[in-house]
Amino acid sequence: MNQERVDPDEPVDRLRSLDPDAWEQLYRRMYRPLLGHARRRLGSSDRAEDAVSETMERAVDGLDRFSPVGDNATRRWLFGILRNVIREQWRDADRSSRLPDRLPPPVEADGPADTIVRNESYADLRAAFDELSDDDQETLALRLGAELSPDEVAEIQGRRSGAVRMAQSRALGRLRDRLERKEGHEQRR
Amino acid sequence: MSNDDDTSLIEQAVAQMLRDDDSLLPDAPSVERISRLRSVVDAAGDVHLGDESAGAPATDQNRSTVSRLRWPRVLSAAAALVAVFAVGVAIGGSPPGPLRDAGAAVGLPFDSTREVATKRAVDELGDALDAATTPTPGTGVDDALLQSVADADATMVATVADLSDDERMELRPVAHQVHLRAVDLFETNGRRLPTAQDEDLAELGLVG
Repeated sequence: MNQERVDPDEPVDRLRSLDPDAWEQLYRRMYRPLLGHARRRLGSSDRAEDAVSETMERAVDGLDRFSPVGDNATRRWLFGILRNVIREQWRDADRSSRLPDRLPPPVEADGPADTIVRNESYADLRAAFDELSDDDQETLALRLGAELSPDEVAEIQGRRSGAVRMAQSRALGRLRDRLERKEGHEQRR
Repeated sequence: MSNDDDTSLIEQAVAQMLRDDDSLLPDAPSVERISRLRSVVDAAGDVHLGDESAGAPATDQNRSTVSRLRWPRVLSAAAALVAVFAVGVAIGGSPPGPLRDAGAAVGLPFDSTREVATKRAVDELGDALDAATTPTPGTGVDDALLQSVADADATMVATVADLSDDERMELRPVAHQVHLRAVDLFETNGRRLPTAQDEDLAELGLVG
């Protein structure tokens, strides 16, 4: 990890020289990934927007501590800051207020019956996902939602890469168990 | 269909669900938010150029809300604690634990004694696990190593139980991870970790 290999797409020098255009470009580029993750973790679009803004401002404030190494260094750095911002927001809110203001499930399907089946399955998956622990949700959101690599998630979460893979596998296993239990329960009815 | 197949399908479904969530997100931050960030960058540039004395009010106005609110409070609390530390040392040195807790309570970057104890317990459990899982040719994991893991795990669980809610939220991920390693080690050896029967573990967030 000590190799000084910096992603050429990330204008670190311009960020370091506090070029407003470079920071705006970074903000625009990272906006949707950060916002999507923040929204999943905070459950509120408004709070997610605030969290992303706060993340960018803290990045400016903490620029001296940023030492980019490897691919996607800026992305890892910003997700790490966002994680702290989200945790601080959690401290100020109980869990009930974090329940997401869900977007509607996808409705496109081949016919009415398919639509119902698909939306019911979607709702079950959503409910099972929401029942996972915060750690499980965060790992799956970072890996499958933000599409970060195990190495990136490991750096953000302060774990080893293998532990992230294991955590992801366990989380998916728990999700599968919950869905199977629900399916079994419905078959008995 | 095997569990692996199921898990792979669920992984794809979760990824799709999360991507669907993102599909309706706005494409770009609002003009106001971009403008605000640019102001913060400009202000930081001013500070770097040594304009702090001339431009202090404008700079402060543009700093992040969190930074603006936090630092006066932290600095005053730090000053008070430094004074208390000095008095403590002068009268013969009281233990730093209570002061450390007071510092943590007012938001200073100190670990409370509870956090220190938990971090130490996590490290010790990690060491015990490393010792137990380091392969020794021709031998399995002996009972003494398993017992040391069980003891370290019980100690860690107890320290996690002592944490405040905020502290637990901070330390739970790492405690959870190392606890799972202990559970795995015992299961691999056909045993059951004693704390696995502890009904409080779910409340502490140490079981999935």
